[in-house]
Amino acid sequence: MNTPLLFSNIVINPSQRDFWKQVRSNSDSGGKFMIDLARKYNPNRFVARLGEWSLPWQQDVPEKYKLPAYDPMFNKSFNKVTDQRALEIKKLIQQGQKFALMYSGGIDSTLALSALIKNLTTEELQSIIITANEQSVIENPVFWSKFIWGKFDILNSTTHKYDDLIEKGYRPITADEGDCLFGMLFALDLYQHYDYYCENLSSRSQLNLQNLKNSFNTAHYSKYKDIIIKHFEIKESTRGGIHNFQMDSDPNFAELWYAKIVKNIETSNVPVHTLHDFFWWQIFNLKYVNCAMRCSIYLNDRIDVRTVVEDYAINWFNSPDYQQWSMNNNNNGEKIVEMGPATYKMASRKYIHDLDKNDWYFYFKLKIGSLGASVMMFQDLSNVDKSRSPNYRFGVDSNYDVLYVSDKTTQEYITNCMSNYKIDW
Amino acid sequence: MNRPWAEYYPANKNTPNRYALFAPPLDRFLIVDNLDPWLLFETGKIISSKIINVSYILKADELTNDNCLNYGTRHKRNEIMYGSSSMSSIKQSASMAFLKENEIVDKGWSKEFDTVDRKKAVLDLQEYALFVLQCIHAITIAESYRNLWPESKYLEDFFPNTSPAEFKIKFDPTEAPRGMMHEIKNILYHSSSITEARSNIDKAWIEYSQTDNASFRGLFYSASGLTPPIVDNNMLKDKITFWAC
Repeated sequence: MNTPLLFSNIVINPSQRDFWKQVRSNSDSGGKFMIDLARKYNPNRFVARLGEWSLPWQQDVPEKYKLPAYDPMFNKSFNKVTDQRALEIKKLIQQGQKFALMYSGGIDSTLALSALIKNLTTEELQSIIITANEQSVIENPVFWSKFIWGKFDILNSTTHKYDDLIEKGYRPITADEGDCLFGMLFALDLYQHYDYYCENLSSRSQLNLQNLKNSFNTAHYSKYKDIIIKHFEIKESTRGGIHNFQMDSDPNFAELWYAKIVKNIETSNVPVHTLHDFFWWQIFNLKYVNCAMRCSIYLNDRIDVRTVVEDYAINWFNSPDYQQWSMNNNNNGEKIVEMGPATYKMASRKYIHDLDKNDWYFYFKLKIGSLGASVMMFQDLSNVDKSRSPNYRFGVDSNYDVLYVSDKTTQEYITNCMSNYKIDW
Repeated sequence: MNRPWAEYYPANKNTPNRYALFAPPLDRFLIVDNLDPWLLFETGKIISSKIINVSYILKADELTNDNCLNYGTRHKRNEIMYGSSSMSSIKQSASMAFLKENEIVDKGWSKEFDTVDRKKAVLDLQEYALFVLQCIHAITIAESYRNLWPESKYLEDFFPNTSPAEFKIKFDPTEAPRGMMHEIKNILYHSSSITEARSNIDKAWIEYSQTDNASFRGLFYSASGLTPPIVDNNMLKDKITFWAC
């Protein structure tokens, strides 16, 4: 095992559930917490790009995905940063490279395609193909009809994974880290349940939290602690299948998770102030590597992960300017305006609307978790040995070699790390 | 509101609303209806090109199309299935669910849509959804009563690979390539406003119903309550009259 790891993944799926149950029973306090975290978020792939953050194993962030030093003087607009990103692709096309844009119809990939359409010539756009599936069409039917169908070559994203695309001569472009810039689906979920959570709190806390609704863009996240804790609690599911873990969780889990995040925030030196910032930081700092790397690891069965990450994969939002933009544009209406899902990613909505003039999409588009549901779940694995299938992939080591939970050495490594990992925050 | 299509539902036309389209982006009910859950679901399918929605069967007598934009659901976690209104399991294609009475609450107007332009967008959308519902009721009624030649659809559905292609070209009394039901739904799915949809629906009827000897078009307009377009009879092809013996 070459450490530090560059990616790790605790996931409760049918292939790994029994293994993690076994590991949990032999784990120290920190190990148990990590598995509970997976039960809450499934998967648990949290790793910090900045600030204090312990894990059961040594883990580093790949160079490509490290966070640039926060520059409070950064003042480029979102539109400018987006146009510049498209111009970078334009330059590569002029050098003879070809690209495959992973298009879901969601705001992030539609933004990337809008920028390319806006900044590239018709001839240059011929060097880009679209990978999409049935859901991509109906997720954004207007864009599909007006800008994609008949204008781009299209490949089925369910059957053409990263390895296929690269072997066909294309560099995959993913906008998978869009949420990292703007916030977190988990936060939208909290906003949706805000009143429900309030009902279960003391009347004093209820009153306080109802008043705080009007201070969404100004109040410090700590004032919302009661409701955050409610949102962090692990609910025993009555469902079977992968949710049927049947194991008690630590009653202090929610408090522990809150404290771990707060410690990371307080040691990071990037402004994190409001409730939305609190969740944004979770994904921007702690889940970024997951969002940036998962396609290279889980939508690729044949090509060395290092080659994919370092030589081929283009993460649309992984430019220093986008990262700076994200750290410098909290609570000004660019990421979200009100507590709810309909103004989420406002800067992207405006950019897209400028091109497509589609009011419905601008006002009503919602975030859909498209990758897991539509691409990961239905991928063709007929030529992949079962023990090497994505469901068994635990992580990558410092050589980018994939580690499989089905391998004994990996199992022993995990068990050993988890049994020695204590809560240290 | 005058609802001529409701006359085709004598058992339901005066009952409370039991069916609703819930719009998660608003966290409110967009429209309600008392006539038919499956046509409301079909309406949801068509307006999914504009907004994610879930069709609910519910029991909330107080809900009307005048107040439903103030009402939402209490707790999305009880709607656990994929395709529910919960943010973490939402999907673009329309879906359906049963909702318990006690989960509907008066939340007032959505704060996310409180500005003038955003409020107008919501009201325009509700108007569009009601227009779609009106058209879906009308085309369903018209096709059920007046499509005397639905056989091609039978062949397409039940003999897709075991009947000649040329048997599957006439889906109803009109000349619409896949029938007027298909035509109207497509217009409604792809149009960006009532004005655009209305205009294209009229144009489609004028273009495709020139040989309509079953008054398919007439029933669509009378059931919907929409004013039919003025048709120049000189444009119509000779109608083949029934040969009764």
